[in-house]
Formats: sequence, structure tokens, C-alpha cells
Amino acid sequence: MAGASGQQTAVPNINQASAQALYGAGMGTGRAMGYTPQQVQAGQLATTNLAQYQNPYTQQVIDTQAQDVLRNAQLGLNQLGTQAQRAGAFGGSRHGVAMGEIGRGVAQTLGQQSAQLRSQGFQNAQQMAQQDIANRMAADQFNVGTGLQGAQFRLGAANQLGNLGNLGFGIGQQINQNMMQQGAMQQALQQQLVDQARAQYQGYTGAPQSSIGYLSAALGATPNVSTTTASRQPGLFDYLSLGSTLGAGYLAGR
Amino acid sequence: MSGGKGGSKTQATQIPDWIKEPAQRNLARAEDLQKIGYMPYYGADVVGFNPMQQQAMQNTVGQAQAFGLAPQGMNAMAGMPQTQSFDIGGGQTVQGYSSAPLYEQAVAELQTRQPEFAQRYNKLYEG
Repeated sequence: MAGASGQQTAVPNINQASAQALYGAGMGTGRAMGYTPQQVQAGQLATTNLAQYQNPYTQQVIDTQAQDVLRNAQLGLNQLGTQAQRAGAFGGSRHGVAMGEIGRGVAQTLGQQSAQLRSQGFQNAQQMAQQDIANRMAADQFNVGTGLQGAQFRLGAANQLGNLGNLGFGIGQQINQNMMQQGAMQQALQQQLVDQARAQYQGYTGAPQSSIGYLSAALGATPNVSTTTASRQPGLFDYLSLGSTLGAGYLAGR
Repeated sequence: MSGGKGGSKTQATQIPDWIKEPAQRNLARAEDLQKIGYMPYYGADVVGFNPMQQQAMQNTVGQAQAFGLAPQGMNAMAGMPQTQSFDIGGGQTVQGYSSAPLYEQAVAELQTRQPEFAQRYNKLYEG
């Protein structure tokens, strides 16, 4: 960067820096004006695959419980057989009815337990899915908020950059005006010196003409005294008047 | 005054004797003055900037340098002529400028460019 004298300056020109700041501020503001917040879409349970929330061990639990029930049922059947044998009714119709009751109860128990476990598993899967949907919504809302904050932050930074650019221009302009004013003072001083020299030169060239005034002044200072001498030369009319006067006197004397 | 009907009068201007000699001396003095050429002023015409003003100007240059508006090493008084010291008595001086060198330069330039006019001019003051 070269100055007026061609010397290199070590620091960047504040006018250029200010221009860059204003340019950057304008770009930043433009981007902020085009800010579009992130779109948030609520999750739906209906479109959620609940299988991923199911307990993968549900069937094992059901099977284990079923084995327990069947084991107990077998114990019951054994007892029933023993009692029927003692009573001499083993294999009879009553024994068969009793065994059927046990079997019905076992089947009912197995069905109820299985249904209850599967229902609990489904409800649990729903709750977890809803919790996930809520979590995603909260995260999305947080991201929207932080995105907006980021945009506002960048807009504020762009504004600050613009202000700094204006400040820089003001500083540069003030310094420029000061330098111009000082330069004008220096020029005025030199101009004054030149004017003085010109005035002296005019005095030199005008000296012969001015010196005429010396003699004129001396002549003007000499008083002139005017005297009037009454020396009258009679004219024709005077003679006629005289003759008329003399003639009138003569006639009167006669 | 003259007239065909009433005759004529004559008028004469006379300088009184008491003023004749002073008037003659005054005229002689005026002629002597005419033979004296222009006498320029060789003293100080313009006062220079004082140290405080010079420092203020240098500070402005420093501000400009800090913001890249002036080259490093720039002197605020660069381009200004060197001041002369004019004695004002008591060991005191005034720092300033005289227009006499510029005036003399202009007169010399006239003699160079218009030697005939300059010669006529100078003859006015010979003898």
C-alpha cells in the first residue's frame, strides 16, 4: 500500500478496512434476512414401528410361565390320579371330568397370562415410542431455538461490524480533515509569504510612478497669491454714453 | 476680461517673496527623493509555526500512520521552508520568514527576462 510519497505503509488503510467491514456487514445482514428456521414435524404413534420397542424376551417369559403352569397342572393331575386310584375311580367319568376341569383351567390360565404379558408389552412399547416422539420434538424445538439464536447472533455481529466500519470511516475522515486543515494552514503561510514578495515587487516596479508624487506634492504645497489689477480699456459704448451725457448738459445750459 | 462694450480687465498671479525660497528647497528635495530607488523591507514578514503547532501536526500524521493513511516516517513539516531567526533583542528571536529573497529573485528574473526595461528603470536612478 503506497502513500502520497510512494512509501509503503505498514498498517492497512482504515478506509479499505472500513469498506471491507461494511461489505461483510451487508453480506451478513443479507444472509440473516434469508434465514429460514428449521422445520419441525411432530412424530405420530400410528406411523411408528412399535416392533422395535417390543420386549424381545416376551415369548420366553410366556413360555417359562406356561411351563410353570403346565408343571403345576401335571402335579394337580398326578394328585387327582392318586385320589381317584384310592377311591377306585381312576379312569372313571368323574375322573375324566375332573381332569377336564384341570385342563380347562390350565388353558385359561395360559391364555390369560399370555394375553396379559403381550398387552403389557404393547402398552410399554407405546409409551416408549411416545417418549421417543416427545424427545425428538423437544430436540427439534431446541435445535430451532438455537438456530434462531445463532441467526440473531450473526445478525448482531453483522450490525457490530457495520458500526465498526462506520466508526472507521469517521476516524479516517476526521484524520483526513485534520491533515487537510493543517495542509491548508501551511499553504496559507507560504501564500502569505509569496503575497508579501509580490507586494514588494509591485512597490519596486511602481516606485518611479510613485516618486512623481513627491514633486507634485511639493508644487502643491507652494501657495499661489492672486492679485487683480483694475486696468480698464473704454469701449465704443462708453464713448457713446459719454457723448450723450455731455450733449444733454450742453442743451440744458442753454 | 475683455468686452466690446465695456472694455477689459487683466489678472496676474504672484508668489509672495517669503515663500519662494522654501518652495524652491521643497522642489529640490522632491527631485532628490525621486532619485532614490525602491527600498525593500528585509525583516520578517510571516511568523512560522510554533513548536506546539508543529507537534500537533506531527500527531495528526501519527494518527494517519496508525490507520494506514500516511506513510511511515512522514514529517508533518515536510515541504515547508526552514524558518529564519529574527532577533528581537534581549537574546530573544522570532522564528519566521522574510519575503526579501523571493522579492530579490523576482527582480533578478525581471532583469533576465526584460533587460531593456530593467536598464531603463535603472537609468532613472543613475547619478
